[in-house]
Amino acid sequence: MLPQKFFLFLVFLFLYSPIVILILFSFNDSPFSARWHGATFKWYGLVWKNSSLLLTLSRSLLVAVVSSFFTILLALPAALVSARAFSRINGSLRLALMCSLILPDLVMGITTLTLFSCLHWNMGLHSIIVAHVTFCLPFAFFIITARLRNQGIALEEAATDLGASPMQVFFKITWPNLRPAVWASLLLCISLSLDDVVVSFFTAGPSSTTLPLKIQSMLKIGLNPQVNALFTLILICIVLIVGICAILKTPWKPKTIS
Amino acid sequence: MSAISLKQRLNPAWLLWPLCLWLGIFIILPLCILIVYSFSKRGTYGELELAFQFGNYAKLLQPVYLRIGIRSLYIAGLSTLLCLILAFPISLIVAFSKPRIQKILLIALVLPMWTNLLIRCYAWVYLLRSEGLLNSGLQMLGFIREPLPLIYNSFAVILGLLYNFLPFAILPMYASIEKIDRRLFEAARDLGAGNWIIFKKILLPLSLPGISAAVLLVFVPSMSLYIIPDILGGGKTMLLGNLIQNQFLSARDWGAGSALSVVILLLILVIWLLAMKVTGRKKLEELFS
Repeated sequence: MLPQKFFLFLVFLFLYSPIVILILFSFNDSPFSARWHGATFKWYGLVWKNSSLLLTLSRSLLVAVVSSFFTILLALPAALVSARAFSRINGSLRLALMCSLILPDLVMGITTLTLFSCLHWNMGLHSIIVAHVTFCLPFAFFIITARLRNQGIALEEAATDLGASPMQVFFKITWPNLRPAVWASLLLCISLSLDDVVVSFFTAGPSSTTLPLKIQSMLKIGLNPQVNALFTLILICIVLIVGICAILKTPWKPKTIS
Repeated sequence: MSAISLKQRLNPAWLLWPLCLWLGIFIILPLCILIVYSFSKRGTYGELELAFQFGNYAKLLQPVYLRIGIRSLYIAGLSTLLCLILAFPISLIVAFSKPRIQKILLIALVLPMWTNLLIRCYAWVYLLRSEGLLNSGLQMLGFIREPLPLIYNSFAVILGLLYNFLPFAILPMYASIEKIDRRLFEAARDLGAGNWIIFKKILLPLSLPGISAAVLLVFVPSMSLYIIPDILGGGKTMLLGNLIQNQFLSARDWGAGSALSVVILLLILVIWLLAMKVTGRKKLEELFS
């Protein structure tokens, strides 16, 4: 057991030491150096006052929320049919979604870029949103179908037998059981969208710089403790989101009536 | 009322259409445009002229491009191999620990993946620079006099790729190792098999679906992800991804860029078919969902 633990320790050291060091240096009292010059909170203050950074952050949030909302809107109905009913295009749809799951970000960005330029559409926040919806779709779809398979269709059938309309069945039975999975995929899509650099890089218009793109341009100049501070703040949010996701993704258990 | 018609009444098939339409417009149509572009000609002012000729593909056979292609295959291949070698024992340890600990370990292994890609790379700059922590640490301890050239070379790029894609290799491998019937190991042990035989005859064949999914998730993205070579390679190590990005944005040679993207897509297709052949479509699909 001991060598195993040592091995895992080394793996976690490898995975976490860069992140820990980055956080540590967000408190470093020197703008350029990689040496320790004493602790300070001033970079956090600067991030808070940096209006262009906050603007890009609000843009990123807008893109993330809108695109994940549309993702769910598209994925949820399709998942309902795909998991339950028989349809001939189902297999090819699943295959297409799997393919788009392994399509590299770069290709995803380029295809959207070529589409927009081919149709002479302007690029901007809307093109980023379109591209983000496209790459988030398979994630939402597979999470929701997995949940639907897991919970079965017996309750819905029983409700229909007792005279409920399809709308009533959906809102009284399917939706309440599905809600955690929908929330989980919504959060996943939001974090995927917030994290994306490559696709946004190709699909952003001239005045639609999102936060990761801003960070990318800041990194071109060199080390910058403001980026470290910003990163630390984002990391805290991400840990919270992942925690919520982990709680929401607990497997479905039928409610017993006592 | 038969069961199928009831299911169809509850979930009518037209609910599929919005998603199909979206995928058609934003994935399949652009891919077709990309293929058309890859056969196009470059006009006098660098604009695209629709044509049917293989000039863009012929361009890819020039030594400059070929060298980048071979180097990307080599770097992506090496980092994938390292990923697999490292991920296998990790997923083995995780799969054989208690369920509660499994969950915690998995979350801990995947958590770094949730930080921004740019920042993950950038963190390595802190460690690897010539006045960075690794070099100054080693110097302080007296192991080295001159700082080691740890960054802006292929080594740094491979390290960055390994760091980024390790979780992608661990997850599918863990998923398939976890499913193996534990009694097989006991039976093999009872029948006198040693560790090596158990590994070769049981563990490896049964975790093959996970391994091929891992290759699928690591190899192709590591060739096309241009950010890691940009930051850790210092622009000196060019991979296919950098080349494509370059063709589309700086060189504005969309024809050559499209041809390159089509080549990458074909490569994905080949690896995908190989993975399907090794594991079967059903199992692969299970691993993804």
